[in-house]
Amino acid sequence: MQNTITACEEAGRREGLAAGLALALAALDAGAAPGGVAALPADAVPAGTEVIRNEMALAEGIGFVRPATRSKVPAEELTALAARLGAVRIGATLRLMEQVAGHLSRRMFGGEPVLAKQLVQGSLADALVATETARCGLATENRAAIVDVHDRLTQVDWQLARMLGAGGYVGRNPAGGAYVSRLVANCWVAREEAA
Amino acid sequence: MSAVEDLAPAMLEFRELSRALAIDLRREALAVDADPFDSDRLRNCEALELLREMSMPAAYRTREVPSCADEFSGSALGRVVANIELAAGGDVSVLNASATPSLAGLAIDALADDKQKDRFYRDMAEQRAWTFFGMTEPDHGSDATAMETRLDPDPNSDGFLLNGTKRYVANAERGALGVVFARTGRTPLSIRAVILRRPSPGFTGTPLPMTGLRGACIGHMEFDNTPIELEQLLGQHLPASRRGLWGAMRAFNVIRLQIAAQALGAAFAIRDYVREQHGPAWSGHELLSARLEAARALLHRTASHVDQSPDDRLAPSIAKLHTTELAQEANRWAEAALGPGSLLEHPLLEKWCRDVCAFEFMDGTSNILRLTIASDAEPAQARS
Repeated sequence: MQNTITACEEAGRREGLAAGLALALAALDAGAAPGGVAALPADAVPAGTEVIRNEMALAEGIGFVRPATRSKVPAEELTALAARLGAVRIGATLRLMEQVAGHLSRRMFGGEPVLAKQLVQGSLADALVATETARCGLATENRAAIVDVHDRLTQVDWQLARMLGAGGYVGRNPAGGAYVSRLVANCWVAREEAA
Repeated sequence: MSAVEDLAPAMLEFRELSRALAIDLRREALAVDADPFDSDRLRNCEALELLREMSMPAAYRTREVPSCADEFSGSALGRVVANIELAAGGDVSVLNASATPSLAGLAIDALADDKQKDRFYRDMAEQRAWTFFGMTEPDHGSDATAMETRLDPDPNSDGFLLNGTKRYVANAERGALGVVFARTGRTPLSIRAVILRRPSPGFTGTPLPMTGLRGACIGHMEFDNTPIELEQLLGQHLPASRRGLWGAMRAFNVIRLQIAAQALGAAFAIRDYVREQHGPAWSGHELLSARLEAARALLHRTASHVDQSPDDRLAPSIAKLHTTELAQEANRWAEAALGPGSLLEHPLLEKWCRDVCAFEFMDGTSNILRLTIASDAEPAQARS
């Protein structure tokens, strides 16, 4: 289990969200999505499936589909998927953090890199603490705890994305990937057990 | 007594007018998100047309508006009340697609002489023009004093030549007129503002694809030896200390509060949408609702304060910092309240999640506001 979690994080960090999602999903197909909308690697979207078009997601190699048939998946299997997906997201968050730090080290304000500003350093440190803590939070079978990890990652991603400034809100940029990461989790992470 | 019940009768009437106009904006929300450059759609939206008229000084209106509509641009409180309702019952992105004087108008009000104001508003009325406000530059987002765009004497006339680049400018491509800031020398006092119209030689604008709030049509502007006549230069009649950045700062103060109101309105929209999905008996919104109403009270109080002290930066900064974060909290709350797949199943909700992120970058990021709050609050701390 731990090896899989580590592999998912590595895939998310090195290869991106789509590769990480492919690994996290393992043998689960779109019909297993708890809310009826599934996020899949774009190249794994089955022909003929109803697609919900989303340009930002496509740019990250992710497709959203509404499967024609739903399959009943044991709750513990969805919880394990949520943990693997959490690891993918941690990898993606760490990747975003590197991109943000690079951006801030190049951007100047008042004659010095923005990265040297105390407020900015504090925010980056908080993001790193939250991400490292999230990793430890995945070593559980408690669904609520894993949902909490996802919620905290969504917040950390936003804290990081906004450090890219308006440049993170136009065109294709790392902040867009963070937003898609949230949408993917929204599809696969069930907060309550299905009735 | 709630913040709304505290409003004077005329303001309550204006609030009801805003709520009625909001319905039209909501109808266009997803279409404008999909194609924000469809000008015909925007021109045909009756609510946007009425908002445009309401935002103009009375002397330049081309049609009758309800008498209470003067509150729209007449006071900070009116602006806040309207923007909350237009965003709550309508849509923030469509609201930002309106062809109103906006920041450019506020800069004109602060820096233009009577003749310049008259021409600006006449042009706006005749062309039903979108406006632009060119301040931010690619490498100096929050640092206006590091501006590089230059306004140099034109050797062939008694005017100037404008050279440089502006980024993240609303209506950069479709704006027919607006205000652009540039420096004539090295000191902060050498930063000046000019009125610019389209077409002008060497002046180009390019839209930037936005994550959300697409109605604002943010883009990039370039000036390559763009000629500026002397009568386009603003602030000539003012003391040197009030000719340039002072006008921008005063405009920012008003708009900061307007953005805070839009963020809060968007949070109300999200709350209302989720409540509709759950039905009237659902109580899961109560904590968020209480926080939103508290924020409304804060904004009303801040707006009344700004009407008395228009140069005070502290209160609008607190308001914007709080409500932009509150809007983020509201969209995370909505996601949790609606369950898996909710963002893809509810396109309007998903759109608002993208839209509210824009407020972080408009008129002062959270960190810039924190620095403003800390520095402006220091004297009060020292006294206590």
